[in-house]
Amino acid sequence: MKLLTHNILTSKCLKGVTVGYPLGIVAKEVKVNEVDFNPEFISRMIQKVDWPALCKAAENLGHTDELPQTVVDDYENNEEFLKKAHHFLMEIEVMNGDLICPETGRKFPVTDGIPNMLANEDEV
Amino acid sequence: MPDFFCTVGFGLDYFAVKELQVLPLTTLQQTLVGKVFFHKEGSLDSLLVLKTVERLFVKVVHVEVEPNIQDSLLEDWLTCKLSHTSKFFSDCLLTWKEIANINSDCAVKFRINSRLSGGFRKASNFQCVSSLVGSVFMQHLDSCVIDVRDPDLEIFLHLNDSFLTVGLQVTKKPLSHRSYLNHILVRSTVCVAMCMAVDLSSKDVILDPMCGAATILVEAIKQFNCKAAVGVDCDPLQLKLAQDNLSTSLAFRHVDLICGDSSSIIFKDQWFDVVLCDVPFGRKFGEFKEIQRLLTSIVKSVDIVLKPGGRVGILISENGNQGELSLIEIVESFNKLDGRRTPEPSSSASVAIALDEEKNRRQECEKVIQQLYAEISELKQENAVAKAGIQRKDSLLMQAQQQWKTLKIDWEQRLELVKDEKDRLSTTVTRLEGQLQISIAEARKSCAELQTVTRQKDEMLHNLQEENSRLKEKYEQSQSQLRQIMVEFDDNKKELKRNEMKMDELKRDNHKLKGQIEDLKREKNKLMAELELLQQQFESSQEQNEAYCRARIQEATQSAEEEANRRLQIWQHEVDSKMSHLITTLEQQLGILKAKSLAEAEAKEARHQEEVQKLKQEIKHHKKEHQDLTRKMRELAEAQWNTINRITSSGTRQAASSFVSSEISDATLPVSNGQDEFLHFHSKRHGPKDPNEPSSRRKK
Repeated sequence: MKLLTHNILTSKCLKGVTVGYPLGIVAKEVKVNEVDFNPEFISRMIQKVDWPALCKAAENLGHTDELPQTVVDDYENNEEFLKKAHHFLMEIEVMNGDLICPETGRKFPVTDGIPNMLANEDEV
Repeated sequence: MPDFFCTVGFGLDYFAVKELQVLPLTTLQQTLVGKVFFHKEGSLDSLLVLKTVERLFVKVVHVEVEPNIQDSLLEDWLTCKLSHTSKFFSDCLLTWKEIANINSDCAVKFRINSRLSGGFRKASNFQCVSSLVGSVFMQHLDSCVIDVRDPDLEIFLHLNDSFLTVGLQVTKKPLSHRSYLNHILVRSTVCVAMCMAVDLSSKDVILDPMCGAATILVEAIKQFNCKAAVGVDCDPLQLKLAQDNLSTSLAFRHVDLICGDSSSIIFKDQWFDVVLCDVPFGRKFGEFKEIQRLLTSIVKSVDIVLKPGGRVGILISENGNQGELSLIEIVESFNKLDGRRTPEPSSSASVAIALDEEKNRRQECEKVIQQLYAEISELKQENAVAKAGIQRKDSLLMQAQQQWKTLKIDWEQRLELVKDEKDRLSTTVTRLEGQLQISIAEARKSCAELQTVTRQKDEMLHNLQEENSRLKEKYEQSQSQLRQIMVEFDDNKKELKRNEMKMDELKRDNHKLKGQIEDLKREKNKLMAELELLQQQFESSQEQNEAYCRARIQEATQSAEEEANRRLQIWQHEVDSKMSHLITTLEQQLGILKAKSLAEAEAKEARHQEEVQKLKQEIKHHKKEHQDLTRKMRELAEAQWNTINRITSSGTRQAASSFVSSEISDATLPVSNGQDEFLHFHSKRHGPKDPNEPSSRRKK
């Protein structure tokens, strides 16, 4: 699971959860894949993603203070920033661990890179 | 440049046409069900990357089937058509070689793939057509060989009620084959068609809420260069297949998989640009209500996660029978949702969003309309085909009636002819009966002959059996002999082994002896060297000896000469002194006599004179003696000198003068032999008569 996907996952399918975002990450195994850098695509993604949630996810994975807390101005022309964002959004993958609902603390296990978001019938 | 055609999956000709339309220098010619015909100029490489077609062919023949054709005339008609067009065949083959990238000189393996459908679909027709096509095209396939298993070239023939189509398949594998997909749940061409239907661009972020093996997402990444996609499925087994596909195609860099329920909301609202979904109709969800529930929930959740202006592509069953939802129903459910959502204030609905949604809806509708158009065009084609069929049937009926009338007249004439024939035949029958009886008699005779032959055969069989048993005995005997021979052979083998061992021993001995011989040779060489050394030493000693002897001889000669001279002088001196003394005494006596008496002197003078004369004679005698002696001495000296000269000239080792008995001192020389033995060499010289004889040789 890439952090881009994590950035759009919520736990609002659970009963009683209103926002369910962002999900906490407890990673047991993290992998880094090399992915071709496409500045246009990353610029567009930066517009779309929830930046604080991405920073928090990076922190959960132990990359404290590696990402600036806010999106820098004129990021389209800041290649260093775009490459950093590319690395965190596309290249870092959580292979094993848990995603944690911020409201109920319910764990969604991540196995072999696939988060299991299935909820039991009584949870829905 | 010949024309081309491609086969397409059912309902995909619309997309194939769309793909072909954007290719440069391409002219579309005809679209039939499952086939698109076109003409292409310039580079042909772009044809090989068509995404929605199944197979690509170089067109050889494409003609309409004449409506009144019958099975019996099919062969002639086919022959006519094929031979008429087969002159283009070599051109087609050249084009095929160019596009298939095959060296124009090498032999091409080919097979013929015939497909008959409609009225011609009969096994007999199939065989006839295959062999016919083979025979026609073989004339143009000089450098080609038939290979049914692994051909380079597949000649495709399709004959249905409307058209005869022949083409050369360009690629061995279909164009729709994707090497990067291990598990295909949705055909790759259909995936591409879905992507084309939503006008997918590389900018779009895609969601597949029921991704299965993720074929749609892999196609979106590989063919449309998309950068991010998410696939959701509730089945872990399906997700395993999806993971396999993603890792083989390397699309895992852009696609994330999530195990989840398609109907539950697990994503942020209004995020995805495109939702693509293959609803599993008819497989797992057979019940109408189940499908309806599923589709409704999918549409509902898709509506939430899709961003304003986003596009949805849902693959559903082509027709709405068996309780499945039709396309229109889905669109209606979208509409209902829109209608429901518009007044809802909770969804932060602004006018812009509403407009976006409307746009979205319209795009969906357009897509649906396009699909419907495609369907309509298909139906039209089918209709046209059916119409042509009906026309053909009518004309066939008319023809049949006319033929019937002519046949009736024909038959009547024939009936009379047949009657005549019958009479003729009855006479023939009676004749034949007579012949038959003769034949029966002959047959009986033959029977009797047969029986005798059988008896003979039995006897022969008996003989053969006896011979067989005899041969068997012989065989057993020979086997026992063989066994004996085998035993002997074994013995021989053993003996051979023993002999070999002995041989080895002898070889070893031989080797040893050779070594000894070598040693002896070496020793011999050493001795030879020593002998040579000794000879050298011996020669040197000889030389030394010789030099020494020469010196001694010279010395001796000199001393002898000196001695001889000395003695001669002494002798002379003595003789002189004696003579002078005698003279003086005689003079003294003479004086005394003179003094004594003159008289006497005178008397005596005569006497004296006599005496003087006597003495004078004596002196003369002495002188003579002296001369003799001198002469003798000279002779001796000369003889000695000659001897010395002779000795010197003859190179003898020793010499001595006639009057010198000299003993040459021992010449002692060390002479060594192999046993460190010294030889002493000693020579003695006695007189001049044996100058060459070595005196003695003795050990010291």
